[in-house]
Amino acid sequence: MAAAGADVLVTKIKVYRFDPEVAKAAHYDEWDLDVKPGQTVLDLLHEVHYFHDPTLSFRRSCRSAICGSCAMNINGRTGLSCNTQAKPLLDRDGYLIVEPMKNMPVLKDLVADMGGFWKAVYDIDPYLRPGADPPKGPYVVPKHRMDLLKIAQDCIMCGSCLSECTSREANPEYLGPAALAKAYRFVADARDDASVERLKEYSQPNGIWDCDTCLYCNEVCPMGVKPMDAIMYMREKAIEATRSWRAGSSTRQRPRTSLSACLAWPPRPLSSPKFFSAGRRRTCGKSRSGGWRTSRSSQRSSRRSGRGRRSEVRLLPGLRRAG
Amino acid sequence: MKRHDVLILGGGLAGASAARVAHQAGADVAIVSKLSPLRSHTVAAAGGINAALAAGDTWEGHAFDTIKGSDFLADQDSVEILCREAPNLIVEMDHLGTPFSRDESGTLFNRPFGGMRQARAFFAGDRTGLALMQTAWEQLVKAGVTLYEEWAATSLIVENGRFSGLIAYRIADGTLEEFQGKAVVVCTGPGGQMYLKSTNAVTCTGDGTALAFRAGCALKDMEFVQFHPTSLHGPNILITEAARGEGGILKNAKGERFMEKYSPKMVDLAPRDIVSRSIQTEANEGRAFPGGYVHLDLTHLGAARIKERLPEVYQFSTEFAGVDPGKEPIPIEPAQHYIMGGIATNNAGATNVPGIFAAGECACVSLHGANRLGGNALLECIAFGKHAGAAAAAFAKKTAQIAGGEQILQQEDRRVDWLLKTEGGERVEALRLELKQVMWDNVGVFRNEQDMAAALAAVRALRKRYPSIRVGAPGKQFNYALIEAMELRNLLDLSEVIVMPNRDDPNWLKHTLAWWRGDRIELTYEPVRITQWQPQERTY
Repeated sequence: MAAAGADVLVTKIKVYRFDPEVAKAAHYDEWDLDVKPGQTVLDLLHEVHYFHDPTLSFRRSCRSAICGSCAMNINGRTGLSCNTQAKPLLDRDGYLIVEPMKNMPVLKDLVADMGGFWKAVYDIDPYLRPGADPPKGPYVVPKHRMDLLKIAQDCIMCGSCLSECTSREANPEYLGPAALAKAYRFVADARDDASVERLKEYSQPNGIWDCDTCLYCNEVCPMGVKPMDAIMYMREKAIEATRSWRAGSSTRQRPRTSLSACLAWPPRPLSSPKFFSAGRRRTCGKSRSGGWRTSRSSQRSSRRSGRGRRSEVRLLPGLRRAG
Repeated sequence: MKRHDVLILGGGLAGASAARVAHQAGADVAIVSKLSPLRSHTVAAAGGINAALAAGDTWEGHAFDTIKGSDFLADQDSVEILCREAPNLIVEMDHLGTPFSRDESGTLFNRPFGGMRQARAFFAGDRTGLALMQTAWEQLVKAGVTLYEEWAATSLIVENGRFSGLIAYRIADGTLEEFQGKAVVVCTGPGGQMYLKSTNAVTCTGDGTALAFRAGCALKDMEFVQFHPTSLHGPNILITEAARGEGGILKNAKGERFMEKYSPKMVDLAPRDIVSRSIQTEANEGRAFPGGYVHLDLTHLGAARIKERLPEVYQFSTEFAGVDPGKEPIPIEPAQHYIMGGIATNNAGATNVPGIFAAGECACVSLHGANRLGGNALLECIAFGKHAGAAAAAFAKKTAQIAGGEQILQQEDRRVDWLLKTEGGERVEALRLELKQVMWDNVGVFRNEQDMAAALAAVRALRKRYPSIRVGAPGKQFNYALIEAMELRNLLDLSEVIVMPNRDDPNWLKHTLAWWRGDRIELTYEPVRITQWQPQERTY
């Protein structure tokens, strides 16, 4: 275990262990490993599993950040072990601790029970609901319109965002960022004909109005997906749809709002002061008494607020973070 | 015991397509997969899916390119089916929700791909596989198809020459259970983990191929293994061919654009086998960088265009190689990527064993002959996944379930028990690493008689050592060491077929069929089916 040259760093890797067949309580195991530049956390876990302790369990498959199997908590932050370089982390923190994802029960070692994650995704009707008359060829959708999906379409369902979601932590019934990003992917899709119904459904309790906008999901996503942006977009569109419903509601009949009316392009950027102005927020409050029910806004404090991880996070103008 | 009409083994794009169609045909369908479907290796497919959909393109053009790319060893009637159906499949996937990239007028973008004379690869950024897989999975959720996730199949049951079910091991709790079914579609995808350098996922161990082989299905053309020219030097993560489709240039250590020498017409966009051999030749003749890699230069495209069209290339280069492709060239080397061979099927996906069907990479129709062109694999998964699903549902409809897997279940139970308790001296991973080294050194980018003979002897020796392995983990829950031991057996069995000397050049234009005979492997041959394109010299 001697260090061979300056590029090799002998270090301890500390790993969360839990085996319900052996003991009820969890513990940590440590191994001394040579960490070479370029090695990922997954490489180190493989080394432990292959050559030190075959009983160590963790999910993995593609090792190229595309299958979503290997999300875990690495030095306090959830991410994919396969694309997390070990040495920079060691240089930064001086230690390496690997734990399973949060907000999910642990099944064994680093294997988390993703049942709740998948249930939320299933709950949002995760499939296109197209109109009755599809064109003969592909749908004609201009690039800028299709590009709306970009903030969500690369989701690999790894669960990192749910693991870090403060709203989910406070409310286990909350659908969570991945499911709502998936929901957005259909709301924003010009080919989907059920956007208004979807927005109505997602506005139920535990949906888009239950996000406490902590931004962790945007921050930790290994694929650059922006679940919180997606949620904010859906909030805006839900309000617009409610308005157009009201405007034409003399007959108490909901007009079939066309997509182009409902999802006007270009949408105002999310950071637009207009949207987040006090006036808009009041509108949002009013709507509770009327058409759609929007649930309570989250007024919770974040348990992580003191950990200095927010340095990069800029609050959107006019947005007040709870707590 | 569980019972369904049609069992789908593997939940990737081929499996999901087969399940969707079989479900639509009214069959009770269940997917059994050792991964969650969205974790399947389909998601790693990056660059595109081919179809003659653009104005001025013809399916015949697509078919000819595919056949020429295959070195005329693809069955031409099968290729015709693939290429005729391709445009409709793109439209179908678009209607189901795949977010194909488009231009401002709303038409689908396409781009050039290796070995294609015309730009006909449609794409969703450079995460086309992910996008198609998501769509296929969404349709499974919509249809309510039963999913058995994280169940690793250990055996296919064949009673009186007919399929009757399979045995699968539940990774979560160590349960071994019999799944009865009238038909199975094997869609377990790749098995490239017997190579040291491979773009395949760690879980790509050819399980379904090996299971079908041992159950009596013939394997066709297993010697044809594709080496992708551009995998990231070191971790061998795939840098999509689309990088060259968008204008990427290969350069050796002297800064020469060496592909001009090997492929004057298509240069960097020659088919993969040719580019890989060219890179290997450069390395063998001392014109590569130390460590045997060359450069893929994208800097002239500019960071903005790379991020727009090739976001994954950008991500991989920065995360895994610490290289910004907008500023520096990417270090790349060839790595095993695809196995053209597989379970021999007809155009409906049926194998020689009634009730066993196969589709996707684990199958061999044959659509790709000796070399697959980029953008045809995703297409094959959808096209022949659907054919196999339909054929399996039709077979199940006219067939009665036969019982009788009890004995096999007990046998598999004893085997798992043995694996958990055995205390041999061979570490599974050490054996696997030896195998990977042998395969890479001897039957890599180039194959010759002497090295193949050495590989065959080495693989046979490794197979003899398998019984003295040690798993080292006794647990029932998430015992991945046990799964790896089962995977190693599959890899060893397939490796022997891959290294068997089976070329017969005087009688070329033949498919090689390998048959499992318990203690030995037997080879037979059948002719390649030719419809309208006569073999010609393959220059690019």
